[in-house]
Formats: sequence, C-alpha cells, structure tokens
Amino acid sequence: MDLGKDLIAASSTPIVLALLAEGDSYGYAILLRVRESSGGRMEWTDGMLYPVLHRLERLGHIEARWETAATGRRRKYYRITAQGRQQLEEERRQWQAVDATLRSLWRAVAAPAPFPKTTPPQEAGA
Amino acid sequence: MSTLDPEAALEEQIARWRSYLRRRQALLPVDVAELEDHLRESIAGLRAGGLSAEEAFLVGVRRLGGVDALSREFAREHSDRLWKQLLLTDAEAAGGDQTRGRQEAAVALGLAVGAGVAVKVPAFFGLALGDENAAFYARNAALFVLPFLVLFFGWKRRLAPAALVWPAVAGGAAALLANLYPFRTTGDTLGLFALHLPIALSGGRRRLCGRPLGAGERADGLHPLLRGVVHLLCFDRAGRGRANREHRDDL
Repeated sequence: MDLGKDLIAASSTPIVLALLAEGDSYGYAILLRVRESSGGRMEWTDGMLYPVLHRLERLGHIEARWETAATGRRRKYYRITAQGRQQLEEERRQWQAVDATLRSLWRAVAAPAPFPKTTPPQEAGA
Repeated sequence: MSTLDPEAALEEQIARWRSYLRRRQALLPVDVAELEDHLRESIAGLRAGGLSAEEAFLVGVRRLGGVDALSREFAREHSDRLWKQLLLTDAEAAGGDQTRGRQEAAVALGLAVGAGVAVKVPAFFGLALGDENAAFYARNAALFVLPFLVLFFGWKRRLAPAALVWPAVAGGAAALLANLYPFRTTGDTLGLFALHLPIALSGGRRRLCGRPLGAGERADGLHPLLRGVVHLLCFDRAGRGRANREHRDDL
C-alpha cells in the first residue's frame, strides 16, 4: 500500500518518538523497526528518515551522540529527551482523537446508504 | 573493473557515491557520514540475503532515495546552513579543513578584483565608462562578470578544465553577437539583449553550480543561450514590423 506523502510526513514524528522511547537507536535500525512493526505497509524512502531525525533533534525532542563501533565505524545514536516524551504523549492524544473520529465515520460509511430513502418524498412534494 | 575483487570494487563505488554527496551544499560531512553508515548497513543486510556486492550497492543506494530529493529535504530542514555557506566559512561550518575555506575567500576576492579590472579595461582603449559608451557597456555588462563567476564555481566544484570549454564557447559566441549584431543605439532590441544575456548565460552556467556537467548535459548547456538568441531575433523582427506599420499609419 502506498501511503500519501502528507500522511507519511505527519506520522513520522510519533513513529520515531515511539521507537526511541523503547530505547536508544540509530537510523538504519529505526527504519528496520518501522518496516517490521508496520508489516511492510509503510515504505519510507530510507534517506528521508534523516531530515526527520534532524528536525526532532533541533526541536529538542531527541538528542544525538556519535559512538565508535567495534568495527571502527562511527555511528550516530539518538535518544529521546524528557521533552520528547511529553511530545509523544501529546501526539498520542491527537492521533487517538483522529482515530476515534475516523472509526465512527467508517461505521457510517460501511452501513447501507440511508439517503435515497429519505429524500424522494420531499422532492415529490416540490 | 572486473579484475578488482568485489570488496575493493564496492569500496570504490561507495567512495564515488560519498564524493558525489559531498558536493551538495545542503549535506554536511557529518550527514554524509551518517548516510554512509546507513548505506553500509543496508548493503550488509542485502548481501546476507543473497545479493552480490554490486547488486546490494545498487539496491541500497536506490533505497536511500534520489540525491536531488534527499538534498532538497536536507535543505528544507537546514535552511540556516545554506546561508552560512554563502559566506566564506564554508569549510569551517562543515568542520572540515579550514585551509579550503581560506583559499575560497582568497579566490573569491581575487576573482572579484579581476571582474573590477575587467570593467575598466575598455577605458584603456578609449571607451570610457560614461553616457557616450552606455550602449557598449549595456551589451557587454554580463560578459565582464560571468566569466569570473564561472571560474569561481568551476574552482569550487573542482571541475576539470575540460568542463569549462562549453561555457567558454557560449560566452565567446555571446560576445561576438553582442558586438557584431547591428543594434540601433536607441532600439528596444538593445535593451532586451542587455537584460536577457545575463539570464541566458547564467541559465547555461547554473549547471556548474549544482552539479558537474555530465556528458549529455554539456551540449545542453548551450541550449538556454540559443533559445535566448532566437527569442531576441523574433522580438526584433516583431518590433521592427510594428514600427514600420506604425510609421505607415502616421503617413
């Protein structure tokens, strides 16, 4: 499934914050977790994750540090801050509001359409 | 390349990819390092899944996304950097080698002085900068400055001298046209030409700023210039036709 660009952009903040709330991580591992937990439904272009991480870092939601792995390769790790956890809670409330609204609307959409039954008498009167 | 073992070939490909990314203004060396770590992880994962080194490299690069789109996203997030890099502290902001930053300042200043001197050169041949030679300076204004800009970007992007051949040819053609075409001193064509020449030339040369010229792009670099010339000649025809008609109406 191809999610729209806006939806991907909007959901990237809570997804990244939620994954970092589980523990410190780095770009590639975060991406694998997104792929795994979405069951492949969310395909991010790998590189686009980094501008998101840098934005969250600039906003103070996460902080970064460089570490040198045993192989000698340097890797940038990210950690969620206290402010980031607050933001995650806020995002969760907002997404739950959107989700609850959509759920009740999906039920209405799924039910057989009520409109044709109620409108014809009025039209006949006019 | 088939004589190289796959590991060396892979390292070479990664090095080429890295130097390509480093030419992007929006990407600092630390960003490139972060992306390279990602690419290497991605390649390792794909090879573990059975792909060859070369296949894994291609898929990994593809998954990272197009370099243009990527640097656009970085530029959007780091718009402050673009301003910083317009100043002379390019290399310092990047935490890279500082000598290159100082060199850049010196080269920019030197070329600016060069452009200043170039404007003064015609005065030595009796064409003083003033109202009587306004038409000459209007026609050639772009040609005094743009060669120095081209040299600057050519140096900054570390282009091979061969890449500067087409801009030089385009500039030479523009100089010939500017000075051989029979402009009327008071005509609109002259004004249009003076306004459009810098745009036409910088359209061709802008390619120098963003990325190195590829084989296919070299010939294409001339295209905006040619388009500008055709545009001008059409304007000139139309203008003269109208002027003639108006003249007849007056009679």
